[in-house]
Amino acid sequence: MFKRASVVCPSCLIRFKERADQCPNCQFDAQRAVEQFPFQPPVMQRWMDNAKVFDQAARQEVDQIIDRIIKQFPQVSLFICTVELDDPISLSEFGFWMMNACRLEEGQSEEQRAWSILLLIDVKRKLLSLTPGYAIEAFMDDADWQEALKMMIPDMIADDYRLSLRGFVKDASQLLRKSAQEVMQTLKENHKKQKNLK
Amino acid sequence: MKMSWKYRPWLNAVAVCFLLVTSMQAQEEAFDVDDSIIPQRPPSHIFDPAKWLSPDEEDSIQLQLAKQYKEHEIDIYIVTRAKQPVQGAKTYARSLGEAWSRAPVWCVIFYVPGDPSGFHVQAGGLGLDPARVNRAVSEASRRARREMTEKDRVMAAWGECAEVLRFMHNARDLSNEAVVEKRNELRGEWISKEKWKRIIMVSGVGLLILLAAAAYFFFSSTRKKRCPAVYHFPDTAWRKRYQAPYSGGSGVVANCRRKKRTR
Repeated sequence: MFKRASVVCPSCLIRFKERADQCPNCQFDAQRAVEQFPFQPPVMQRWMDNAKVFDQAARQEVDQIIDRIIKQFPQVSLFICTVELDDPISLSEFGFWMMNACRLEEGQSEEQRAWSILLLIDVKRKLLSLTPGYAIEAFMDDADWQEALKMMIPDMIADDYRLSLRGFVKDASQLLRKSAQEVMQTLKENHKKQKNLK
Repeated sequence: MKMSWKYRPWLNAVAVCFLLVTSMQAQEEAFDVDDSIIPQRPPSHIFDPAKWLSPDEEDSIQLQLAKQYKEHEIDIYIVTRAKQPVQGAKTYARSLGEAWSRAPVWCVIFYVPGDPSGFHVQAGGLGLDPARVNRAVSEASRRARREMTEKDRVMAAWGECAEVLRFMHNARDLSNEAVVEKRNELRGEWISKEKWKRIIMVSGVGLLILLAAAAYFFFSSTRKKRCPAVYHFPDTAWRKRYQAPYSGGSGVVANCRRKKRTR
């Protein structure tokens, strides 16, 4: 059922079969991330547009799509964060730090944080990164989501962030639906198998 | 000059006679000359100021013309005059016919005794084509003129004219009836067509609504089956790592920067 068989280190991006408290390759862990980003972590909100690339109209447009996603997948939350970081900060490390260090939004539970997906857009370096929580990552195929990020690239190059984000959110909706349907199918099959065994 | 009183009665008598004669002549002349006045319709079908017909002839003709009038609604008049009217025989006869007619079809046979051109016939009627009537009447007159004497010709003329006019009158009635019948038939057809059109339209609209409703229910039910409104992922054991509470990060990254070409 799990999409992700291996785990990835957000720092060195090397895949491992076993989960560990530290990356066996680069010894990356939460502690190191905190040391790396000694800032006051913000409250995690849907819009964290630090680079100010989305106007009100763009937000409203994307909000409508995200609301539909949340209506269909009540467990899932989607967060969008734009930053202007300098080299050599790794965006995946920054995403890891944000997902774990950011304070919970008013009314948000730890469980909900684990069902969250954070999209990071580095406007300065034109980089994109996606960080899921522990709960949702079980149903996400990295290759599919990588593809979704790649689809954003042409509009990003053209500096059309609104179009780029709208496309991504739509793709996210499709990917979640695809995953959910696969899960439902697997559950049905398992149920049948159990019946047959009985 | 002084006149003796003894001749006075004689003179009075002569004057009275002169006045009587002149007034009678004037009256007669006035009747014949003043053509602008159309005389009143006579009580019978014969108006004979020329005194051309005998009382017996008049009675016999009147009987037959009255029959035509009653049974066939054809008002025929035989008119004679001592002199030709100023406006011409045909115009005069037509004026009389139009003024006197009481029936849908009328006919006037006008004759001036001694007129070498003989009698003149004018006819007309409601709903009849004047050109057709004139042609028919001329034909009838032509046949009547084959008789030997003028009286016989006039007698034959009204008989022939009555026949053709009766025919035309009946034909018109028949054609009117046929037209009405045809119209009713067409109307009936039209009504039944309209009725069918309405039935088809109403049933078509009903069928469309039913089909649309069926399609809607079919698609909405299949859609519901295919994709439920709300998806719930099952709970799984979190694969906690790197001592992080909510997320282990990921390697899903993309670079939008154009790669610099190296020579």
